[in-house]
Amino acid sequence: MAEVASARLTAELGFRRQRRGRIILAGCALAALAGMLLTITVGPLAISPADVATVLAARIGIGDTGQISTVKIGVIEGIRAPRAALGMLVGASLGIAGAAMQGFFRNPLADPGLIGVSSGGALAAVSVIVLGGAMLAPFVDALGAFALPIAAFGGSLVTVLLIYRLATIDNRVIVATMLLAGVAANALAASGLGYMIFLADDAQLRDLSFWTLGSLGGATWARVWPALTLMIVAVAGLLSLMRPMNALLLGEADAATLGIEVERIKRRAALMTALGVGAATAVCGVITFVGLVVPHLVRLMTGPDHRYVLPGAALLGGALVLFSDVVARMAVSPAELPLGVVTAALGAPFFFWLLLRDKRSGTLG
Amino acid sequence: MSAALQDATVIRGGGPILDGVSVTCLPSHFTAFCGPNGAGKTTAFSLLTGALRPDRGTSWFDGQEVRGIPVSALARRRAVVSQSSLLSFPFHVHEVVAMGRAPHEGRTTPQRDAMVVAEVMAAMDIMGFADRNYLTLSGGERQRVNIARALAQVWEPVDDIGERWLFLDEPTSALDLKHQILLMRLLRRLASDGWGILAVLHDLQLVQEHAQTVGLFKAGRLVACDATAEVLTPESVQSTFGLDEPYAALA
Repeated sequence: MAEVASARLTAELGFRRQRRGRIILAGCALAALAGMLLTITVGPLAISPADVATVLAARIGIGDTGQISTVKIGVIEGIRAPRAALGMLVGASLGIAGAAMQGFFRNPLADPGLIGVSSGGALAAVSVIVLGGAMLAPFVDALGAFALPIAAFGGSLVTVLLIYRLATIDNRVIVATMLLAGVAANALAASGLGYMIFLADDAQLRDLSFWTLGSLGGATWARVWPALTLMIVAVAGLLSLMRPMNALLLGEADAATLGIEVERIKRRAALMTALGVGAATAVCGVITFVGLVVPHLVRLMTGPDHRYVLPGAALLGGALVLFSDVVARMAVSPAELPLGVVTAALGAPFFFWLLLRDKRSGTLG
Repeated sequence: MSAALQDATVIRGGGPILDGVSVTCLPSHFTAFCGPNGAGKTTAFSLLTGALRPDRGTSWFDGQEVRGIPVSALARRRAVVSQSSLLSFPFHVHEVVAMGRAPHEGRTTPQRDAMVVAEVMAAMDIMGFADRNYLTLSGGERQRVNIARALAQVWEPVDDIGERWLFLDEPTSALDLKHQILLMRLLRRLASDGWGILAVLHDLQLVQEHAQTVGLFKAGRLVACDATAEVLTPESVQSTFGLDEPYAALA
């Protein structure tokens, strides 16, 4: 009898966390939806949610756009919808990539921005912009619209692998080395970026300035669809790793005894992370701290189970980027703050708080 | 049906740390590996679990080369408790134990998983802190949680294969006396239920009292492997561990 009672208790403990996880995920999804709606409705031209609903319905064949002016429809479909889609996917990619990196490094301080994965991608993207007419012309010709996100993916991938090699000794990740290697990678990428800025002409220079701080500005379907495609692949790829990533947190040897093909999972995680971060960086520049803050917020609410952390980080990441973008647009309207300024202003204090907390509990390192 | 090394050699830093070892662990048997530090116990153990590949020789599991068996198939019938766990995320204890059910995903139900998790938590006496954060536990408590996770992995027989194995590397190193005895009794009971048990152990009294077979290692070689009473004598322990006089505690 005692066995049955304790089984019921255990099941209850498990189900309680499951229920909680699902509620939190639903909340994150609502936040993401709200972020997209806000992005479309807020701006110099005010648009009501009802207008958005009407245009969306007309698009999928229900009713027509009625008396909504063509200007409004143009703004919704041509300017704000791509911006909302871009913000959602950039945030989702960075959020889920952060969660995946933290699992991959088995450390809660890993962030694509902090350890240089974003800057590696940015350097590669900027190189394509500056040298695309000259040295890298064959690459650009061959890949067309995909040249920029693919190059950024390559830059990010090289950085992930480099940091992982440097920071791993005997299958253990040395956190200090990981962060220091990230400092070095960021410095190296910054120097490369500086050199590219030196080489750039005036027109390219304007393009480059937003790269270091990140922005969703200038999003049009034509410009963002290649990166959007790659980001969808990356987010879906990382979502499929939910269960093995949990086992991986026990350490690679233990994960293998649980039937996980460790090398394959690690390779997939590194590739998809680089793809997501690279593609996001290629269209928006370096947006830091989303990958750090978002997974932590989700984990605080759901616990560390990747079945909730990964999808939660994708949804909440999208929401955070979209809300930050609205703030960036409204704060100094009609000008725009760079998005990276807003996310860093939110994220850096959060990082200090994490360090303080870990210092107190002694879990750092 | 056994786990066996055949003439296995592992070379590190120019010299062999395991030198031509052949040993067979039988199902329905509690086998212990003993010996001084650096004698090759854990190396032999890692070859048998497939974590390590021998430089020469072969590691067999159930008639197949262990590293040739798909890890997912292996995971359903044998669990491994390693010396230390690297978990650094704040999972609750019951969640860590439930991770042991991962290899059975799609072949089990949440109700069955909960039942298994409850049973192994009771067996390892960790029910009292089932919803505590794993990171706040003491070393011994963590060890019990990790053993419970391994038990959960192979607690139920898989339909097409009856035989289950549990490999434990120094499972008692952080346990208090009561839980050492509890674990030893459990391992003995599991062996009599048909499980193959292999444990690397340092406490010779515990081994003498509970293990059926002992493999004694010294300097990378297996010096003896037989019934416990045959292998563990005051004299054999004296020579293997380099003591000044026969080890009277075993007499």
